Amino acid sequence: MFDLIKKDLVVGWIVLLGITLLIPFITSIAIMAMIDDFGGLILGVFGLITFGLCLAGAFLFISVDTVYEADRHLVSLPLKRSKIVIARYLSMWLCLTFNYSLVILSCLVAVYYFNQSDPLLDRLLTWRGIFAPYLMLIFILLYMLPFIFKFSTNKGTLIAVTTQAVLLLINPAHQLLNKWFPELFAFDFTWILQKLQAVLQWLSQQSTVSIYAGIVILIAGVAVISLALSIRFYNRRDI
Amino acid sequence: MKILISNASPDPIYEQISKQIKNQIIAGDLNEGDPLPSIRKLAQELQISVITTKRAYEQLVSEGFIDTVGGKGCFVAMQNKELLREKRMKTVEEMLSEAVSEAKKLGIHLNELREMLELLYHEDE
Amino acid sequence: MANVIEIENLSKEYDDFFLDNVSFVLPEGFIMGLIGPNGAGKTTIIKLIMNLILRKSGTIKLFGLDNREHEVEVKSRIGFVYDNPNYYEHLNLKQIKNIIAPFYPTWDEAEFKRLVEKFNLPMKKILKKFSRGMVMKAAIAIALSHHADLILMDEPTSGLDPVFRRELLDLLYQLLQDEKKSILFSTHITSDLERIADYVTLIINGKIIFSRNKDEVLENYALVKGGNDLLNAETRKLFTGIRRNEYGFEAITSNLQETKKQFGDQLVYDKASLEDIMYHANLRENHV
Repeated sequence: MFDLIKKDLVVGWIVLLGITLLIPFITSIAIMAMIDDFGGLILGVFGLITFGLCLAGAFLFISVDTVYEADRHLVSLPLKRSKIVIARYLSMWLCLTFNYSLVILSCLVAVYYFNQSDPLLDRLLTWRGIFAPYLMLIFILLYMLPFIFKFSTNKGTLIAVTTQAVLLLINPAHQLLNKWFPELFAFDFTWILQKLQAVLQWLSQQSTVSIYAGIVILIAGVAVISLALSIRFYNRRDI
Repeated sequence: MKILISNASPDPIYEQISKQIKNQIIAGDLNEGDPLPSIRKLAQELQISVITTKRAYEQLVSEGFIDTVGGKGCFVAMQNKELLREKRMKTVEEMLSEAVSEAKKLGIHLNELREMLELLYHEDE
Repeated sequence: MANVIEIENLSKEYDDFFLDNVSFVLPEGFIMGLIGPNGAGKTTIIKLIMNLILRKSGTIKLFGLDNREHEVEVKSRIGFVYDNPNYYEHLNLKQIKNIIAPFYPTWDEAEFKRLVEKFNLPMKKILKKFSRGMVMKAAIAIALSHHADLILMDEPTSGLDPVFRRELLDLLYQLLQDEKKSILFSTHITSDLERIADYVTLIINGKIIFSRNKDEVLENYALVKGGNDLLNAETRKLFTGIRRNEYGFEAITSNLQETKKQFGDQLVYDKASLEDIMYHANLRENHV
């Protein structure tokens, strides 16, 4: 299994190098935009690009493998398919963590070495500020991976992104439809919102430690489900 | 040992092989106890299939010309000199009887036939 | 004698093609040619053996073990060559070997070096610069470097020149000297197998036409030619893949003796090559 991760490094080190140079660069631009107060839009765009790069960077090795149809060869090796899946997960997680660390590192360098400061940066460079986006990225990755293992890399990514977009757009879409066709879409989602608010209330009353513990357990649970699904899908796939 | 196979021959390949080996044994070119190549080596050398050489050898074993010594390979079997001579005589007999039947078809008389035989026999002298 | 491959009632369904109840065996120590026209199902069968695709029904036993239950053990004993062995093109042979070798407990580095030298392959040149023949040789070198007991090759010679094909045959003969090694070789270039194959399995449109000892096939099958006046409902049933021209017809018979008895001098008889047999069997299967 670690041979597979080693393989990823041998095969994709150039692209990894590219990302290593690109991320700090883009991050610095984002920071400059923040600091020079160029306005929320530029910050937002560069912020998004930075985090997008982190995620895309995790797809580095799997993209190389897809281009070279490595699946065919991997599956013909005396290797359980589940190991291939686990190695993929590990490799992508390591990549993501590496990329994200670069972002945080760039921010830290800007603040402590170049002595720049900005309220937004200060908010980011707290424990909560660092881990929240990280966990978000992991969550997105865990969501996308089963799609990729069930369908091919390209098709799976497309479907995953589409479903995510749909989910994101449900609320605004509902509001829009409500505006135009009030009679048809007179569903009241308020009871769901009330329930959600009740849950959030309860959560905020818990201690910080247990909140974090809860989140870690949640992510671990999602990871297990994601992994199990991916293994199941990959085992049943025709290569 | 010499083995030459022809794709144009009406005889199947395994038969060409066993015939040629048989004839060499009968002619004395191969002697008792001489080792034969393994079926796989022979197949490789002649560029044919292992099953073909196997069949050729099986035929030779069943006709008593070679023996398989377990684990060591195939060797030319002890040939009974009498039996060998008998076998070769039989071949001559068969050829002669063919000549006789052809002669009869053509209406050639026994005397004419005898003359022909004498001529042929003395041809090389 | 043990069978190295045992396939029973294997089937697989695609949208426009299906593999229909395929069964055959390969005894240990022999070489079998899997022949058939393009799209007949040869690659599908090989992929099913390697468990690259999932079967709809049937069993596949390799070395006496189920190929799914004992997948890892079985695969470590198989040397597998794709018809298009495209590895990472930006890597060189040494790097690719280093990626693959750790997965085989029986990897023999000395043997790999020997084969690479024999095939004259450069270790430090990237694979993109290899010719098709060289890529194939590289794939074969890798497949043969872990003491595999079963060599599985899918169209290893297509697109390659006759010289390479002869070299490959020489290599296979060398392998077969070890009576524990078996080979399954799929191809539509039947002349490659005409001499070396011990067994031949002919597949057309997903159906096995026959799986037999090659010598038996070549002895019992023959090319027959006769006048068109001989063709009637009855005779059409006796011959396979009748092909008519202005001056007569040509077909294959699967029982030379019987046919000679029945038709005697009315027909001209010729030795059938595997290609003739495949061609006429294909005519029959695809003739409406």
